[in-house]
Amino acid sequence: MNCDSCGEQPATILITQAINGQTTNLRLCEACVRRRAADSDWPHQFGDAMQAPLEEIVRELFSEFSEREEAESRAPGEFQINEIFFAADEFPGDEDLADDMDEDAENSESGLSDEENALNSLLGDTSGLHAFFDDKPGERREIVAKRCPKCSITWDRLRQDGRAGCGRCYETFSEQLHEVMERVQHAVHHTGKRPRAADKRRRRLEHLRARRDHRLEMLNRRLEEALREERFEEAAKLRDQIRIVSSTIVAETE
Amino acid sequence: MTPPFLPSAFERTAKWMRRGGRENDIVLSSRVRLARNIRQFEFPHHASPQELLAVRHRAFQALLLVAESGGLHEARLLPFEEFTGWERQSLIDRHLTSREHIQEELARGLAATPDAALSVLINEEDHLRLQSLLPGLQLDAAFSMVDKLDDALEEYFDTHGGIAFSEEFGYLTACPTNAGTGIRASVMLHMPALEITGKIERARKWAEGKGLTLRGTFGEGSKIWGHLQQLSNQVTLGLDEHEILHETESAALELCAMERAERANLPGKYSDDARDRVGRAFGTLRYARRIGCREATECLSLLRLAHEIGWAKGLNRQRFNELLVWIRPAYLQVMHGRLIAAAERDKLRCDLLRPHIAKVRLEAAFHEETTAAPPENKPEVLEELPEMEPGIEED
Repeated sequence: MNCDSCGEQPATILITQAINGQTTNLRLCEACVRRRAADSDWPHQFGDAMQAPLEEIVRELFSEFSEREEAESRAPGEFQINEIFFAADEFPGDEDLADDMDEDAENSESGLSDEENALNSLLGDTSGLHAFFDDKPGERREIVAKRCPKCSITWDRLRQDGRAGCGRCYETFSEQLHEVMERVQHAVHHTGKRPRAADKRRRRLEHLRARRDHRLEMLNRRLEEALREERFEEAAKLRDQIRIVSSTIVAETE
Repeated sequence: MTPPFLPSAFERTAKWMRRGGRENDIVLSSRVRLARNIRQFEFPHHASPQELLAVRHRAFQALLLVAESGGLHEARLLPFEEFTGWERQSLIDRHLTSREHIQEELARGLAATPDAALSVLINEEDHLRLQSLLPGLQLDAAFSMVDKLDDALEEYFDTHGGIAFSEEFGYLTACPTNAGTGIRASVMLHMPALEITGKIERARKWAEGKGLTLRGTFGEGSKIWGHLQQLSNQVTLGLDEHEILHETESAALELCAMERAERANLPGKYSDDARDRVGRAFGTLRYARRIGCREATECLSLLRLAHEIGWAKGLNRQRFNELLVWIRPAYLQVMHGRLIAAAERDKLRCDLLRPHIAKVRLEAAFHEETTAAPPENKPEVLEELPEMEPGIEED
């Protein structure tokens, strides 16, 4: 199934719109989506429209679109985007989809509804699902793909590039990287040289933690004693001190 | 003030071209590279221009402070914006950096000693890449140089953004395949005999089986020039630096043994092919008036082989190393200080080579037809050839 816009490239993005209860499917290729973004006032926070992550573009482009439509028609819910799907490969056309649905209906032993079957046949594998919007009008669910909180790249982007965006990515995608390392490296844990300054800092941290724990222990002991001997004024002071000490967080600072 | 001129920052003969190290008949140079990043910033390919500039600024600041204690003596700090494309290209010719590094326009740079033995690439794939480049096989010495510089830089960066390091993955790098130690140990091997006898593929497979890889002459993804291949480690995580160095070095020694075995086979088993190639190479270099870089490199490589197996005499290894770099298109233009069209370059290349090649004499061993050579194939013309040469050269 080719792109509805240019009719040349295979469509990889499916946007389902429900207007007045009537569902229409818009199939676009990546190039057309990016072109639309470039033509519109694409917010440049994710970089150039030709390079920004695709799902960012789609989210910005079509959610904005829907909001504007709503505002103009002054009838919330009249126009809404239900779902946006990304596929690794081409999407089947409506006819193909219908065929698939028929087939699925025939072999419908899995207990899935027609809708679910259609969804499954559409996506093949749900790992192709990156983003979708909530069916409540005006509301938007979180993007499913996990992002690095620092550089906002996704695992898919990292894998495609073969490069992480920042040091934080290693923390964000540590599970996935673990698997990769297991495959390509000798072992998954670093054994070589380490920054000595970091070591020093770590030792200092451990020392501080130990000191805090020790102090807490001591204060607790004194509190127990004070309570046992019914020295309540002192006990109240000790309790305050304990509260302060235990709320002290000894942590590494960035 | 005269505009900055890149060649003036470096000695014409780099450290790696000189005498030193072991296994010099096959190993040209040893390189150790450490990849380091600053925790505060995103990796260069993803960072904003401001971040890239901040990284370079800090790197230069750090190097001004710690260059001497880190062993980067008389450090040259070279922001790439100041140099033309060809000047930057000449850094690749000298095996100092990569294409990806010089192609980027903004905030890239290099700091290096004048003999280019120790250098820091700034904003290449990683924020900092410390590398040392020494002659012959001496990975341990190369490592201790970068190790010392790494210690010095780390002290600075600990209070200026921190070095990206995790307990689990070690030093964090842009490409996860470099994470861990961030080390890449490479050995430049000259392996023409394996090529002539068609056993180079077997050697490559063998290296791969050892978890090492044979790359092109100018690093990852480059072509092989003059039978020069870089053996380097692939594993960076799970082994410590010394294990990696040891594995790479012992594999390099094995490959040297393979190459030597094939070199020993050349006069006998592959006599015709080898003599043909060497003879043609010598003839081309001696009498050509226009020569492209690739052809010249191949010929120099074969002539070097002829020297190593006693078929020719006249040039030392250092001269071969120098010529391999000096004939490169970018280097040639940079040394002439102007843009030169390809046709003129080809002519200048010959002018550069001729006086050196004139010193080369083919030895008796080259003319000797051993073992199964047909007897009628002992023409006197070959004997006379060396005596003819000086006369022709006079013009």
